[in-house]
Amino acid sequence: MPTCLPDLVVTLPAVLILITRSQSKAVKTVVFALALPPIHLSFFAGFPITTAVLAVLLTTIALMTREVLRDPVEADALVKCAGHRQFDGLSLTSRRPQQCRRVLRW
Amino acid sequence: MGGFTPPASPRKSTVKDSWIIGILSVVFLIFMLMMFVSHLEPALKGHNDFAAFYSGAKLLDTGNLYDGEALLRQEELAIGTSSDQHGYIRLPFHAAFIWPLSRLPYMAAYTVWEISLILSTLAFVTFWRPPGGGMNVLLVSMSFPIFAGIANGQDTLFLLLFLTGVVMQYRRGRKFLAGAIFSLCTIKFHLFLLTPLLIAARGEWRFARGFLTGGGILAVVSFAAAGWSWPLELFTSALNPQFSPSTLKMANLHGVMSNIPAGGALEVAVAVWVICRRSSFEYGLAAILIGGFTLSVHAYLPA
Repeated sequence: MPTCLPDLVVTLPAVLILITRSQSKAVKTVVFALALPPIHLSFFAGFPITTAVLAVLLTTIALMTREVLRDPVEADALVKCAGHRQFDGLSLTSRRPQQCRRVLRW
Repeated sequence: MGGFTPPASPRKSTVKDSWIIGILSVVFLIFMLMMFVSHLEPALKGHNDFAAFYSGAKLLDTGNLYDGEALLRQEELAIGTSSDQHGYIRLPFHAAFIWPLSRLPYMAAYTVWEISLILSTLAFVTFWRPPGGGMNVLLVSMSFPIFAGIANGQDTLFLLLFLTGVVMQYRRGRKFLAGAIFSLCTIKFHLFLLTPLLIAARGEWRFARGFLTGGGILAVVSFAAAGWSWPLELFTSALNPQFSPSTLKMANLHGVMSNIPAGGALEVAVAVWVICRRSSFEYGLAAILIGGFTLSVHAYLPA
């Protein structure tokens, strides 16, 4: 039994935040890997999981950094918009940013 | 000439998505049960990490919480066996919170503990937004770490409950309360090493006051429960090489860069600072969770 595998649980809220809040498809795609069983189970298949997990973690951080450096104000505004009462409970899908921008201008 | 095809109604699409998510969730649940069937016996008997928590809470009565040999003797008394990989490597307030359970017979306490872990996970599924609903169920049902946590009797799943509380309160503008709840995450403080970056980069001072107030209360409970010498005893216990048999098996920078002290840590910290500085609280929280796991010292995946 992997004794410290449960520690990966702390990344689950991060996965949920990023797949719903991030505007970058690359961030969403890479971080989603952390929620998938293959990456958890690859150790049992003999795959060097330390490298696999670390690669996902570091790539996610790098992509998040790129996202906020590219358009920090927009990213923040969209997140605020997503937390707006009118959008409460809705995720930021590919169409949502345009709707958010309209609401913010309005 | 092709006729006009009206787009599928959102309601139908939602119902269809719900079915797909529901079926996938059931498939993953069955898969997880199959994966864990070989670990069922020790899990049902409670021969896992809860034995160390239970024994540690009992040791509070004698004042030697971090005495490894005493803990193993207590484990022998509780479950008839012990593991040399067990020791108490949590803060004393953790043992104080578990102390009421240590008044119960072991199996009764273990049952309450396991039910608490499951309820904690269910609370996360129910209250975490967004995405919420079926997506939460799906992601939890395919989370190997969650099932491993339940089978191992580990306290990590309580972090899901605490983090849900933090985000809910923060969104409601109750930053002080959010910070106070966040202080409970110090049960696994090594996974939250980058928290100061989130606070300083965003100037979350109300959150910080809540965090420090909560932390102060937990510190008072810790000193009251384990005396003045516990920080040194915890430090010694946590550095026991038996609990960290091979750095190469760690799924973080310590594992991969075990021969390069502090290798990459600064770069990760700077990146997390930049993310926290230029984004929302929740985005920053995601950054410190991922960055914290990357930098933590004790994060083993294999047994």
